[in-house]
Parts: sequence; structure tokens; C-alpha cells
Amino acid sequence: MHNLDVSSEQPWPSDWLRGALGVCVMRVLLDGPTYGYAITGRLADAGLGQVKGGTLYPLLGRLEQAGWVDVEWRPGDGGPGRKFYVLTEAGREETHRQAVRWAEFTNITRSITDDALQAAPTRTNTDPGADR
Amino acid sequence: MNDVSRPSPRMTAGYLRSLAPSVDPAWTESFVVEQRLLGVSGPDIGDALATVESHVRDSGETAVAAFGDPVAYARDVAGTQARVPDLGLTPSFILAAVCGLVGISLCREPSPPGWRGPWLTSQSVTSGWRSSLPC
Repeated sequence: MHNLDVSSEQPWPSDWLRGALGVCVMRVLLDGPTYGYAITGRLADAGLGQVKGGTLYPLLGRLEQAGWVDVEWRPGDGGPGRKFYVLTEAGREETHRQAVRWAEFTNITRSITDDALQAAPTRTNTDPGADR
Repeated sequence: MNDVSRPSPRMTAGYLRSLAPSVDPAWTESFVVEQRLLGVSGPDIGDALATVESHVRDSGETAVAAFGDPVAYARDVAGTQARVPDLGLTPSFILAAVCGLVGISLCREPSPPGWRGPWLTSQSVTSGWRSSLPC
């Protein structure tokens, strides 16, 4: 269960984030064009943890390659500017489709796991080697 | 006048720092070298480096903290970047080039007396070739 270890910076297992990040980033872009660091801020504020640039930009590149995102460099204040990402029409449709699928998926997983929320399992000491 | 004894400004620490002033030059150099080795086009390398610079400047993180190892990151982003066309010499390319050279050399040789090719006479080829030479 090592991959379920959490830290204050990254509250969720990386395996879970890998599956959810794409649809979450596309959902952020549904609100309008924005840039990479602002996306990480939105995700962190929502409780998803700090997504690193090394994870985010390759994902955005794949979304661009799929035709779901367009990019545009906009000038910054005294700096080199920022790369803004905007959903294409196909990207908006794909975001809706993935959100629907994700809801179905999480409903299924919760139908399986929610019973375990009722009470923490009590430790049965039937295994004679358990205390060794 | 160009001073040919001077090294190219490309890949020097000062040049790389000017491309991404907020990024550790060693990280930048490793990233650029790996992208070059992967055949990523120059404009796409510049775009990726500008993205790193922008993110590092906004977040206040180091490039290593935000993007990790530069070689690994260069490989990650290369999957969605344009590549420089491969100009390697394939066997079919070499065969076509040899056939072309043989064809040119045959055209330069005068044809045997009385031989008339299907398309050109020996005189017309010779006069055409000679007319291109300086007197």
C-alpha cells in the first residue's frame, strides 16, 4: 500500500490523480481561456493538491494534439508572456462526454466502497501471529 | 565582417540565460540538448522553454521542483512536439541517386555513330551540354 501514502503537498495517490486529471483540467478550461499556473491554482483550491508543471504541460500538449485545446501566447506585464489554453468546440463536447463518464465511473466505485464508510473495521485477534 | 574564430553564441550559458532567465542554465542546457537529440524542431524547443520560463516565473519554484529532471521532461513533452524531418540516407534514396548520376554521365558521352536514341540525338545532347560551358 505504499502508493497510498500521502503528504501535505500531495493529498491524493498519484494513481488516482493520473486518471482524474484530464477531465478536471478540461473542466477548468470550460470556464474560459487560462494559463498553466492558473490551472494548477484552481485544482489546488478545489482540493486536488499541487499539480506539478512536469505533469500538467505534457497533458495539455496531448489535449492540443487531440484537437480539444488551442493555444495562444499573450503578452505579460514586463515578461515574456503566458501561454493560454482554450477549449475548441470539439474540446467542449469532449469535456461534457468525459464528465458524464466520470460521474458514472465514480458512482460505480462508490457503490462498491461506500459500505466501508460505516465503521472502521475492528481488529479481530484471531491470527495467533498478528502480534509478533 | 564575421569573426569565424569565435564560437557560436548558441548553447552558451549567456545565450541560454537570455532565453529563460528564471531557469537554472544547467537545467535549460540539459533540456535543450535532449530535445535536439530527439529531433524536436527549433520553434517547438523554444516554445517549450518559454512555457517553462513562464511557469517558473509565476510559481516561484525552481525548474527542478516544478518539472523534475530536465532530460525526463524533455522526453515527456517530445511526444506531442513537431520533429525535424529525418534526412537519413535510405537504400532507395542512394539507389535513385546512383541511377541519376549514371544517367547523366551516359548523356555526356557521345553516342555511337549511327545510333539515334528514342528521344534525343547525340548531336542535340552534345550541343546542349557544350553550350552550357564557358568558352
